[in-house]
Amino acid sequence: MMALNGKILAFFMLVIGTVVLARTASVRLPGNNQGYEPVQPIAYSHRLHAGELGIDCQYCHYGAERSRHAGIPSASVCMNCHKTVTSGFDAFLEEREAAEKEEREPQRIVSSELRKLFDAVGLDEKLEPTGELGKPIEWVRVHNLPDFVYFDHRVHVAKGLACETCHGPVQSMERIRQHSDLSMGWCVNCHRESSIAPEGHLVEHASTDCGVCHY
Amino acid sequence: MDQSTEDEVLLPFEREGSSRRGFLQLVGFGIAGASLAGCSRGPTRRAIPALEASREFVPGRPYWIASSCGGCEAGCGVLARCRDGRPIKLEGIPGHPVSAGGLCPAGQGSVLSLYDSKRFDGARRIVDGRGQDLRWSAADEELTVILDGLRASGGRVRLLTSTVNSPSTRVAIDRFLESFQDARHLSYDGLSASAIPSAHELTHGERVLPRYRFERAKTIVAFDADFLATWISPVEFAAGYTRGRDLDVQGETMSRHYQLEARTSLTGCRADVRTRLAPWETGAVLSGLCDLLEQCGGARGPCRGAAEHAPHAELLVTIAADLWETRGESLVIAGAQDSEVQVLVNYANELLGNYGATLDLVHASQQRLGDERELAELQAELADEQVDLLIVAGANPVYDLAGALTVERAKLLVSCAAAPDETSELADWVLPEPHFLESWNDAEPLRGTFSLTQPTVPALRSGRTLRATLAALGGDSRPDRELLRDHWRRELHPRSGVEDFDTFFDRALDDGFVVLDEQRRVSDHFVREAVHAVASAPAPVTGALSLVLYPKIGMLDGRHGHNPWLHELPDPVSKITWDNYACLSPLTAERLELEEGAVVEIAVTDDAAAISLPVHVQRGQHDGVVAVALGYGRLGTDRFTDVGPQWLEGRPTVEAGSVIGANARLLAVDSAGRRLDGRHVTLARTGASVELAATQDHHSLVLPEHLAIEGHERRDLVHTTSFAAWKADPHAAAHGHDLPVTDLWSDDHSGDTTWGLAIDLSKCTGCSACVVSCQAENNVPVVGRDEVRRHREMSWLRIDRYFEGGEDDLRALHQPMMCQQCDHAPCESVCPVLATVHSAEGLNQQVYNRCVGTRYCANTCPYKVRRFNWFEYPREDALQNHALNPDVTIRSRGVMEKCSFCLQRIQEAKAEARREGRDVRDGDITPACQQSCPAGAIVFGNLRDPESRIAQLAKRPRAYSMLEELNVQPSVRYLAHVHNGRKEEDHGAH
Repeated sequence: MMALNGKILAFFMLVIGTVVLARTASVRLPGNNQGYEPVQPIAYSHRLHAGELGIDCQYCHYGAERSRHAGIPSASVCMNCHKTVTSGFDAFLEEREAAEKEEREPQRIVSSELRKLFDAVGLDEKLEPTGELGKPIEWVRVHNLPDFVYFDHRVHVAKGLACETCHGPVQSMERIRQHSDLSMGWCVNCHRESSIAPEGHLVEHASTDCGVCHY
Repeated sequence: MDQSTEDEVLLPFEREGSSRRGFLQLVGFGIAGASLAGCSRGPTRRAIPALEASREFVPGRPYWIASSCGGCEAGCGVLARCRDGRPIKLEGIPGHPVSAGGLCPAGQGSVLSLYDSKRFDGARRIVDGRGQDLRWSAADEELTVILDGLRASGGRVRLLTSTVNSPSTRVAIDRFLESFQDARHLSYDGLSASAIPSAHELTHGERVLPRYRFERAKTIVAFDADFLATWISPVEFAAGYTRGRDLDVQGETMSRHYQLEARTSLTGCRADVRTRLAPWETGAVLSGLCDLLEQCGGARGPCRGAAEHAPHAELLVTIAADLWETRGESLVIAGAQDSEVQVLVNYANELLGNYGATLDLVHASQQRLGDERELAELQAELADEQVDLLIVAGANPVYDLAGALTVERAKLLVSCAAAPDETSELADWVLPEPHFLESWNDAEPLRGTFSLTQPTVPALRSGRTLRATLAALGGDSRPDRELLRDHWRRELHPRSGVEDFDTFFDRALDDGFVVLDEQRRVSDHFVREAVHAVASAPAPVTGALSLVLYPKIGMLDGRHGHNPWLHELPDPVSKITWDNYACLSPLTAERLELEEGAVVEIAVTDDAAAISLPVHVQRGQHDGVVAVALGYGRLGTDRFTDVGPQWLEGRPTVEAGSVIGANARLLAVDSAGRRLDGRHVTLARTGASVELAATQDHHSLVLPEHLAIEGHERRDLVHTTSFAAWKADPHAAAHGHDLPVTDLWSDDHSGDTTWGLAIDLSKCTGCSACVVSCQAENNVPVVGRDEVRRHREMSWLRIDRYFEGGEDDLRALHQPMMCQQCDHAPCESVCPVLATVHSAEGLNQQVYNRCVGTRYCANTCPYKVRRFNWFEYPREDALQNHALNPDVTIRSRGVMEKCSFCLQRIQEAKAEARREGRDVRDGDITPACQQSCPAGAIVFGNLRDPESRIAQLAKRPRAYSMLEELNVQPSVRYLAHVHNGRKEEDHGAH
């Protein structure tokens, strides 16, 4: 009997402990992947593309305006620029200088990361088609929602919400990282707040009905 | 980082039996451990974009591809809704001459057949019973050698198909057969209507099947024709029929529908005046009717005097008077496969001047053109082993003729079956046809209406259409699309008046169909000499019954026998799933001392054929007949052994090695390969008994008397009235409307939107298209026969059927029943975890991730529309998962679910409206049930927008809410059923 009581006590302490721990800011609940920053198959830099070069988010993630999913761009979208740009600018300058010194035509420099892109779309060293079928790039998905949640990018984009509001300072991230915790409370807080009109602004009436996301 | 870092931990309680407490402890440890480690991530998920971006397709955004349905030969135009490269749902093309925006249950279900992993993949040669897969080119090479031999030797080549309504395929067939000295194309239909063209050959000099225009008919007299469910072109007919009875459009008139039939058909149940007619008396009754019509016209004709001895003489006088009054706007049809009877039908229509009005011979139907008389000749040749090559395509003669056509006696048998069937089992070669959703094709369902079929998905299985196969065997190896375009360029483009062929073809592809001017001339000479009165056939002797075979709305002739959705669809009349059965009238069942479920052996009196089936007692059926559904007993249906959950007390849907139901055709073929109607059979009890999986008494809204408050024992569920009463007083059907409304709660929502649904019971034919449509849209699982018996079917939308009247004037009222989205929802107040709550737009939301499965809500729901997931219900295999709608959550075990008014479609429409910076317009949102309804009985919209269609409908005097006395304030409005019966009938059936 004593042993049983002890077990029950231990069990309750564990539960209480769990709740207390979960409530403190430093510990997170299951499903919260804030800060997730997996290694990607290609070391693509958002800092370079979105920050330094200032390419619009929707140039690549064009689904955000038209679809539920923002989408990860097809390799063909990358190739719009990278059929010309095949390496970093520094490497290109180095080669040009070296070529001038050696009095020869500068060679095409292909960076090791872009090599992976060209492999994917089936291009050889000279960027000529190899004739083989390409192999899609298997990116690691960073922002995951449970299967019973339906988030719709297009509504949020249409309402003028900036990408950074949820995705954080992407333009300064070398590797993409989950900025927000993407929890329901986080979503609902924003929906609540946007229903309160700031001065001089219209009320957005973002719904807090369950059925807005769960169906 | 390549793979997940998460370890798969086998918890101790999974290794061995453990107590509930132990389990909870472990869960506690698990959570704590996860929190402490700060690592709770699931497995790594990959996101793999396409290599090539497409301008048209954005991932996650649905798109539509126009095509034609291949579920039967009716040739409905369909729009396939695709997501991420695969079709997930079919809808009718609005404005298509056949489908007119609707689709039938079989059409809805055919999207699932695309993802059938049992389909053939590529050409196959069968040697000594063993299949050998071949590349198409290799198969062509080998077969070409054989064919060249036959061309040289003058061998006998036969091609057996069902109706070929594809004009380009017909040309390919002709071209292929021309190259042989002795080659013929024979066609027959699993569900034949060949007696009608045969009768027209006699009376009009041309083998033609008229296009029936029900919308133009003021009086409709049908003999055994189930035209709202399975007869020739049911979607087209249902749309036309309801248009002719639309109280909002027609206003002052409404067609009157007489049905004289032997069994209780769905169409008969909807008739204004229905009577039971012995199948052997059809000819005599029609002769009598023709006699009466002759008298009305003052003519003396071949049927003179027939009315005197005709059965149902009194009713015939009424019918004749009605028909004559509306001559030129009436229609007489018969389902009988007897050309003598059909000649009488033609004669009646001719006397009434209906040709050119309600029967269109110019835009004639091409939907059932088979001529099964030819089968006897083929069987004679086969019996003598004179056929060198028999190619079978689009047909399954071994099943359809129950083995009477000995196809295996052909020296070489080639089957073009898409999936293994009874015929392909015997074949030497299988050259499979693709599913219609992955192939190019065309169809001409009505003369002048040309539909195109185009691929909606890269082929999942390697197949080739009959057109491409015949072309390849004839040496023309162009791709199928080119063959099709070539035909359209040569034959159709010159008729179109469009200058550029590409413009013409692309527009047709985009629309899915094109209507061309039909210049056909038809003879208006009616050969009266062909008409002669028909006497009654001999009635069955005492103890015997006349056999009536009929198709079920989902199975048809058995072609959908491998579709689990259609197996689980309750028959709209009997409400039975997963089976066929012997229907007997209550009186006959009593006389034979048979009860529901008793297994009987049905034996033909002058033949050895016999099958065993359980008895179903069917009201409204003629006492002298036994009715059995076709399409069951298909080979390979033991695949459904494991459909539904596997648990301790679960019984398999079908025993391993067995089949579902029995092939009734066994009783109705003779050794010459002919199919026979009205054979006489005897029934003998086998002693066994089964429980049929009927859903009729499930989810009943009828109150048990001992639970009812005094005075509330009888609930008024389906309101009905007669047309005359409704015209005199539009409020005639709306009794009990002035109940006092008390509100315990203040109004939950003050917004400008309350979604509602209006269902016009006058239009609903009970066809059940909405049920399958809902299943496809909302990922409703199949649970199997045993679970249906346990009242655990998962269908969100059911159709309640109520009979009224006696055996001789039985009428059924069908009422689609789904979540009523009550404003004062009882389910919401009993849920302990707030898993079902009210939305600001008046929806009763079910939140799966909150639900803990107490099932209180299902108990308290007065409409019994909530469904509980007793199990996980996996699909048959991974391929079938592709038919799932990605916009709807797959519910897991232990949660409640119910109709959501297609919330995903509401959200989609709202998102699109926001994207375009506008408000949601009336008509933007169509739930799946509304979209597929051929009759247009369902309307969705915002009840608070006074301009919306639904608000207009809700204001109609016919509108009422279900169980209004409970004051749960549902958002669904039903519009009372109005019939146009002769007799003034009491309204207020339940």
